[in-house]
Amino acid sequence: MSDLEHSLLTLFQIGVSIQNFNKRLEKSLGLSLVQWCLLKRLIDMPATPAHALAKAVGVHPSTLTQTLKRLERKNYIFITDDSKDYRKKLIAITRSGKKILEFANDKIINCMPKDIQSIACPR
Amino acid sequence: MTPLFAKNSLTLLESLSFTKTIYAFDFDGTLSKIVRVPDEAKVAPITESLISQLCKLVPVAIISGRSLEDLKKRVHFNPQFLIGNHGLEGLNANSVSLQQAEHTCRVWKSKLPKGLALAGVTIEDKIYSIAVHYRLSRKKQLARKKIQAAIANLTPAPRVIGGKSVFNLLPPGAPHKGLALLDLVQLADMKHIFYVGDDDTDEDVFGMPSDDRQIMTVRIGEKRNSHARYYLDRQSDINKLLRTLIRYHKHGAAV
Repeated sequence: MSDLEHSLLTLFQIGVSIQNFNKRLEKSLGLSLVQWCLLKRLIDMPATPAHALAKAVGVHPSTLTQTLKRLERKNYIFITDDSKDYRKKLIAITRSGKKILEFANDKIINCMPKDIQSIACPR
Repeated sequence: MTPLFAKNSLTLLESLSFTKTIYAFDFDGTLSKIVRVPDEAKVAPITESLISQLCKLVPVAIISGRSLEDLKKRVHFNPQFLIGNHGLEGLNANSVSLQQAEHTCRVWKSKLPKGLALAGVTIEDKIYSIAVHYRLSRKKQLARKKIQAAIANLTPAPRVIGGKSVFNLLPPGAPHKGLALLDLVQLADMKHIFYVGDDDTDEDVFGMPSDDRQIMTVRIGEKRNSHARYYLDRQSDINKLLRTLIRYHKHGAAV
């Protein structure tokens, strides 16, 4: 097996591991990794427009829509019109969102599989 | 503009309490009522008590057009930052630029016609800037015209910031409140600014580019062409705002 093939297989295994981790989190916390990542960013970006949040997370704004709707249904975030530009929406984390984030922070670190941990914290 | 006490605005305001936010307030017309004689301005005891409580919970800055010395006499609580002369005093202003500002103001003061005083106009020397008040003038339009004519003859041409019955003359190149606040955010290692002001001098803060929503601005009194995003109906609402901020911060803890 070439080095490249070996690297691709490793990446695939990590991808599967992340998917499994994500499922476990959703089951136990009701919060996926993507949702956790958004909340984590949002806490330092109060009243932020969607495009700024997408830029901070590193995804296209359209891919955020569904995740934001789910978070809003769970009352973890609040979405309102921008009074200065009604084409825009402002997003903010709610107190319930802050609480679940505090709870999730510990849980995520404890539940993280070892192969992901070795990539996330190589030292 | 949106009322700050609307439900949606309050939810956004609450989210500021979850991150590192500095709370900045103008002095005249915001923490204190506008009075006929600027020297009589003071913070009401209840406001003073509330802002003292807030100072214990979060970083608070008072940023005013008054000189720092004057501001210190009127502020009987302990804000983390006191900034005077529209941002010239209180931060890391270098002594050379302060000396230049002082020299420029001295030249201006000598050139401003003494006749202005007769029209109910008072010239306030704030060392690094000058304020020309005409609140006590009975003929305000005439006073405005006379002051504007006098200002037009000054060299170097000052940066003029209008206000409530006042013209503020700042030396060219002097910072404004907006720039001072941006410096303050870096100095205090904060991520966001919450700012309340009431006057044209505060438009420098209200009009700052806010694409990354680093700043939440509130004006005392609704004004159609103001750049502030939110407003409070009147100055006395500041107490309700301070109570709200205290409540949010007593409930919250950093994540």
